[in-house]
Amino acid sequence: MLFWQLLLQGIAAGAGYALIAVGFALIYSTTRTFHFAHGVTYALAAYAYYASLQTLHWHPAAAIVLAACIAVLFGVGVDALVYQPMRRTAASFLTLFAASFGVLVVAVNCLVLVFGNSFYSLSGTLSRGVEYGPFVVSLANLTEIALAAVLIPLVLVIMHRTRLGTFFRAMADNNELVEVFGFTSRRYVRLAFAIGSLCVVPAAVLAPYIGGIQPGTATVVTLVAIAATIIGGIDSIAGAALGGLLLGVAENVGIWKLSSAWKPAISFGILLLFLVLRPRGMLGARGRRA
Amino acid sequence: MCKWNRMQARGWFAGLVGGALLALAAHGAWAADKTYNFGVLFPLTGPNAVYGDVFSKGVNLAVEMVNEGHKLSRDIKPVYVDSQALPQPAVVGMNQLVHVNEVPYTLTAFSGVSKAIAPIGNRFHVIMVNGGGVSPELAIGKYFLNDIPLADQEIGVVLPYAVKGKKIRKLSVVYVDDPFGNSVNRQIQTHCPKLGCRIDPDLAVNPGNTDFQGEVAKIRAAGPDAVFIASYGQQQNVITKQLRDGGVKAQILSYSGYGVGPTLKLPEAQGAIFDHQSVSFEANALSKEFHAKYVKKYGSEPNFYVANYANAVFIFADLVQRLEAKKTSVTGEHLLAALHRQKTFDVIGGKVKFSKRGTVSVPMQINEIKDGKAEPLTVVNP
Repeated sequence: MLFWQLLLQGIAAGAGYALIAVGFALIYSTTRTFHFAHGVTYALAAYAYYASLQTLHWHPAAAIVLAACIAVLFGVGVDALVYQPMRRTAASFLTLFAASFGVLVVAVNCLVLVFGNSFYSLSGTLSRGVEYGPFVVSLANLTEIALAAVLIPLVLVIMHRTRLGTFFRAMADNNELVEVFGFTSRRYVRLAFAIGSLCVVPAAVLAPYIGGIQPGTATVVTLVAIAATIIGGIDSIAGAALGGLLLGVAENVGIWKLSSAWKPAISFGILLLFLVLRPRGMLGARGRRA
Repeated sequence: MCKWNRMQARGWFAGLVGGALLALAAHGAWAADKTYNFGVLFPLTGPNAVYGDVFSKGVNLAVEMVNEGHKLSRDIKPVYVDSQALPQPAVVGMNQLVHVNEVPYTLTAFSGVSKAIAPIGNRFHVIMVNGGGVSPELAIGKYFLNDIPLADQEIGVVLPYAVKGKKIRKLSVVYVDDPFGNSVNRQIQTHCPKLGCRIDPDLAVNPGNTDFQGEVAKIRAAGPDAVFIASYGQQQNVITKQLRDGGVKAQILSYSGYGVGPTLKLPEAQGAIFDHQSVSFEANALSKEFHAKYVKKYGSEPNFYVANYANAVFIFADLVQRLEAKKTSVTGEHLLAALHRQKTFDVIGGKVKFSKRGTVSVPMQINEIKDGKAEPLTVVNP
């Protein structure tokens, strides 16, 4: 029974990872920017939600809207103020990567300055475990699974069934060709950052009810998003979702027989295995053709 | 003429600035000579700053009381350095205290930090006094003293009480994977079978971890009568909250580190049992005076951490006074020799005596958390 309980928790954790990884993969596959600061978007949204509820005493719906606005503003803002000026000077992938890493470090330190190193969590109906027969699962976990089940297919529909998705895929294939056809890619880059940043909001809003938040969460989330994206296939959004799910399940089911101190080793062990045995990830090649 | 004047003015300006700097430097050196400095290596930032804040209150009030007493030819002065409760920054801080500030005596906290700095203090003959870390491995060298009972004594008190009083047959342990947590787990593994209880499971968690849903599932599946939490700071609050959120209703047991404000106020921590050293603020005149001044200054009751660190300051002042009487310089070696000669000290809570291992053995108080406060259940003598 413990195995099935851990599997259920793994699916819930994986759902959160998948939402974060999908946002990261969307931004990377369309803009070729390794957006290291993606974890900060998550942390900012989580802090905004927490502060709106606890300090400003807002209605949860208003707090979610604020969290979404802050996530989008941060994602689009980093692109407009950091990446776009660098792209104009034909900065290399590595330069953008370094800049993105710099944004992450500065932003995490700013979070420490504003919120301190303290740990924040929320208690309530969402956080409390509910017994379903032999299983106990919190409403926050169930909500995360449900949201991932709705939002990830929605992103995939946008990517494969809409005009916007066609632009995104065209940019991913050959950005210069898109510009030759007279389309301004900058607007679509901004849109990619906006949608990618929005993807983290459900997981971020639920984070205070599940594991809690602290500034260091931003770095952990970034690493998970990168690992999930590489495992899933660097260009594949569906692959990133699968990668996130796999990591969540592996981390939780792994401690069935191993000590929980092994959790990070399990995640990055899987990443290492994929890099050595299947570098293109689970759906990498199919994603590129799509 | 004009050029000469400008040059002359520059010369005067440079002379004035240089003179001012020299005067400042001289004043600094003079000021340093005018105080007996000691180091304070506490977490002042980071997730464990809550402990540093509590410890500092005891230190600062004790310093005020010593300096107001005018028993020494100079004032004593704490030199604070932020350890962040992490070994690496603590080693940097200890090196600063030893080589830059040249203190002969320093206060330390947290087991990992204390283990990391102990070789430096032992090598350069600087006395280190720990009043907060409780790892049984903190008997580490002749310059390292603990004025707090270590976890071997704590576990040896709370576990028999809980096993007998609460009829605990199966115990789960969640411990932080660091020197403190590992040593507490070892103590539990030693004591539990002797008391007739079984451990299932014992789970190590990484110090920075905040998601314990997997651990909670394992504990719930094991169905223990009690869960022993051996962590500290915010992490112990998160573990407690997630245990309750995850449907674990077993009795929570812990050690002295559980008795801090944020944990006591946590709704999920109500009913938890933990122990700490028993400190009577009625034991002697010093205890009463300290208690009265503390309540007046901070508007709250002092706890055992406050007493331990204040005691470390009072012991320093006592030793310095004895060295002054003998007209001996205040060095680590001389302080340690004076400590061995003196053996027993009158401090807050009564008399304290250090064993050869640099540890103390004191009465322990077992508490239950009720309505956000630690309610004493009983006092156990060593």
